[in-house]
Amino acid sequence: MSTKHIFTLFLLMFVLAPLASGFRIVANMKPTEMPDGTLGYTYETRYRSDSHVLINEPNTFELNLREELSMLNSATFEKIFDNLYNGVYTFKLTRIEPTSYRLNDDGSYRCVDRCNTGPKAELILTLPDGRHNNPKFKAAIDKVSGDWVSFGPVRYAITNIEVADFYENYIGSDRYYLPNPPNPRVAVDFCIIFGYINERRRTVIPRASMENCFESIDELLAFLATKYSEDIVFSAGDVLVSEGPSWAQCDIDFEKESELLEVKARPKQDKWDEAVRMAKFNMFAESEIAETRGPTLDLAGLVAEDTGNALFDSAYKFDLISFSPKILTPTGTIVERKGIPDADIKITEVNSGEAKHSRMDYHISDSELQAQYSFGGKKQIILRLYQNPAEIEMPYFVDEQNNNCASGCPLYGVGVGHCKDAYVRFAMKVRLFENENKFSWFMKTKREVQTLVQGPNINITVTDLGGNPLGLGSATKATISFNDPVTGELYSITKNVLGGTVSFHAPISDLDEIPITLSITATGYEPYNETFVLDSEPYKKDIVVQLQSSGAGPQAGTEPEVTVSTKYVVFSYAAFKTLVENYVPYFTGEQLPTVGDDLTAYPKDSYIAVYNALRDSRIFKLVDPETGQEVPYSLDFSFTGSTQYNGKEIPLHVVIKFGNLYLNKTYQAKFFLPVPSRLAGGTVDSYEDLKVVTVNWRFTESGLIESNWQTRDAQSGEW
Amino acid sequence: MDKRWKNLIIVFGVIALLGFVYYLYISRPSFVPEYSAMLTLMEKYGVDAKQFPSALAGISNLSEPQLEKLSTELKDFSNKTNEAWLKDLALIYSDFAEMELNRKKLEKASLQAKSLTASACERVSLFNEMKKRGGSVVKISEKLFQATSDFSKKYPDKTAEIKLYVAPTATQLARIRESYKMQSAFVGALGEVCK
Repeated sequence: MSTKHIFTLFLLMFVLAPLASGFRIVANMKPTEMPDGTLGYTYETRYRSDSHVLINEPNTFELNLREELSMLNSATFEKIFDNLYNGVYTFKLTRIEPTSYRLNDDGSYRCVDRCNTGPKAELILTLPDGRHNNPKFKAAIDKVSGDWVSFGPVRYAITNIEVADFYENYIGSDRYYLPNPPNPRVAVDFCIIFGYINERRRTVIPRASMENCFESIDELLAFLATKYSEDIVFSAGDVLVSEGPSWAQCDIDFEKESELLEVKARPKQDKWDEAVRMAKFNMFAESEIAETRGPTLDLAGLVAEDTGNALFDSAYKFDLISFSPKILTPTGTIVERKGIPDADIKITEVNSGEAKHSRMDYHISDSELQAQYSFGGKKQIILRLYQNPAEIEMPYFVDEQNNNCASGCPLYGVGVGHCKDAYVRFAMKVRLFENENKFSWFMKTKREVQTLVQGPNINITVTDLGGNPLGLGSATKATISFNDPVTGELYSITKNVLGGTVSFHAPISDLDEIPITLSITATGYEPYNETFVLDSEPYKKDIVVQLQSSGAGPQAGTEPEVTVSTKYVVFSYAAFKTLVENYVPYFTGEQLPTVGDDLTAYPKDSYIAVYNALRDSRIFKLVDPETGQEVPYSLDFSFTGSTQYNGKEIPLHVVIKFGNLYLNKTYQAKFFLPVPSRLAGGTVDSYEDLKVVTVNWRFTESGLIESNWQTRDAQSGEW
Repeated sequence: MDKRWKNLIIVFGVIALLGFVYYLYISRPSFVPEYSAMLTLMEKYGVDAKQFPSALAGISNLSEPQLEKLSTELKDFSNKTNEAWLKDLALIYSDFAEMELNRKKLEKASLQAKSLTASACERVSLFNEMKKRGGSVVKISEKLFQATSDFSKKYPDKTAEIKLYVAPTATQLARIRESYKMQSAFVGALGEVCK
């Protein structure tokens, strides 16, 4: 069954009526001692309407899917679930927020809480490894995407809550909310969306919708039986070719643009005839290919996550330049012929015309499925063939001798009646960082690549409850993580939140469900976690997060009263010149001539050297003297201006982008400069090889004020 | 008339006659009385059986009672005909009609399983029906695969003439087998859960 089938299978999970044997937790409320000494069921003693009812034990539902489905053999179970559901998944009902009514002066009641949504319940899931998720109240009726709880390989949602309504009562002067009818019994029904393993051996959690959610094991089985029945119906529809392919249709298909990343090729007619006539099914060489088609992807707009610099400067054309036909046994299994390359994909850099190609075997093993293409320096593209053979369409040759046929022996049904075109779908990833050796995830559609090139598609604003942006003052960091849609590997990136904002490139869920987990941490604040998917236009998401104070560290509202903003300052004019004067002699071992304020006297190379050193984080640190903490920064791409001197372009400014610095606060800038003698003697690799130039910087409304530059020996641990 | 012209006319006449004979018995070798009878039989159902693809497409469009009837009639025809290749071809069409019948019944049962609001356990008999139909589809598919393979080997000329394509059958068959394995496993498990 193809990925598409499995994907469809789970997407189409349907809703059936709840069963008595469904996923349900029945429990009692925890009793409270009433003023007269009896036990009653109520909110806690001084009841507030936003309080909750505690649930007595036993209050759990244990799901051991492998045990529940023990009648399935291992192969069948693992085909769907792999080892995901080994062990016990425990759903625990801990608290309920009931619908509550307040007493009016006239003795009547009015609804005050959960009037629109009905009661809410808190279900905590504990995975077999002991991890459990955070408590969250959910109602049964307000089903919007945010009402799902995702944890581990499952999503779950509450479908029904049975609990009495609570009414305000007074016992003496104390106010109580009491259940009516006075029944302590509560019941919560829930449904589960089961993640599954696809052919690429990774967990896929289907889209969150009621249609995907099962309320019992028999519903799950009924669904699976029905979907496989539909697969039989579908496959049997084509069991014999009911209509011979018309060459016109082959032509139309060949011309058709694909949304997938796909290359195609068509062998020359005479070479094809020869292959059929001679039962020759070796690779069609480049000279035997009549036409090849593939996408042209413009990567020129792609900028690095870490520096913002452009990573590519061209579009790239993809072609299939040779391929092997597919060999089947009479029973339909694919003959794997190791050592024979199956697809040869060529990438051409449009600007330069430079072309690279690489041969890849398909459906043999993971390691042989990908190839790296490098164009000048860091311009790297990695291609990976889909593992699923069904996604590589080739002309068929049927080997009657069950896998033992070498070229030239009798073949049966050789390529009869089929388009002879080859279609190879691939996934690609590109470098997304300039300074780190990190790549993006593997993408499978053109749209995903285009989205990546357009820039970050998740923009996050982080504030405290008062709406004040959080940033470096509270060491605010944001992390996104997700599994690579092709390899299943975890991709995770953490960034500092600067001036209350941070942005990420994130994958879109065009073909696969790709849950993206966002985590935000800040000193003195409760961490924030959210899981979502980008599965519809415009495949972008703006997220506003208000962090709650944790009561430790800097409190909400106690952030320094300064204007918190992103600063573009520093190294304008004299500052950068000073840096060049200090840095270059150490770096080159040569003293620069004294030129006063004439910036144009220094060659551009000197400026570039300093700029590159800054950019690579080799020589500069900004430190908060109060905490001793380093302040993160990024560099803007280029100089802000230039002038001409002797035909040379001389930069006048270089710009460093600092985020979330406090106004009127003194920071210490440190420049680490190699000692010339050490530099001459070899690699600079310890603090003893360095001198430090320090200068105090203070950002004011009117600009940067800097103290005198001072030079000293570097100290241990400083570099 | 000049003798030469007469000879020329005779030559052209013979060529035309040979051409007509070729058209009747060689280029359309199926144009034999028995083949014609099978075509007529299938035409009654609106099926154009001159070529394999159109025959299959026509059979697929028939209703369940028509499929049942056609399958039986083709079996009878196969028993009666003396042409070996026609005997085999009629059986292929008969089996295909039977497979289509089971496929349609399976499709109907699947739709019912999805649309009914009764619990899965209350619908166990429906799932058993699905399993039975699925089994029949697999069994006949296997048979068809073998029969078409044998046909193309035994009668390569006829295979080409009627465009009997078989190459993708192997892959499709593997898919059907796999799906049936899973379907029957889940129906079996459902039966156990619902006990």
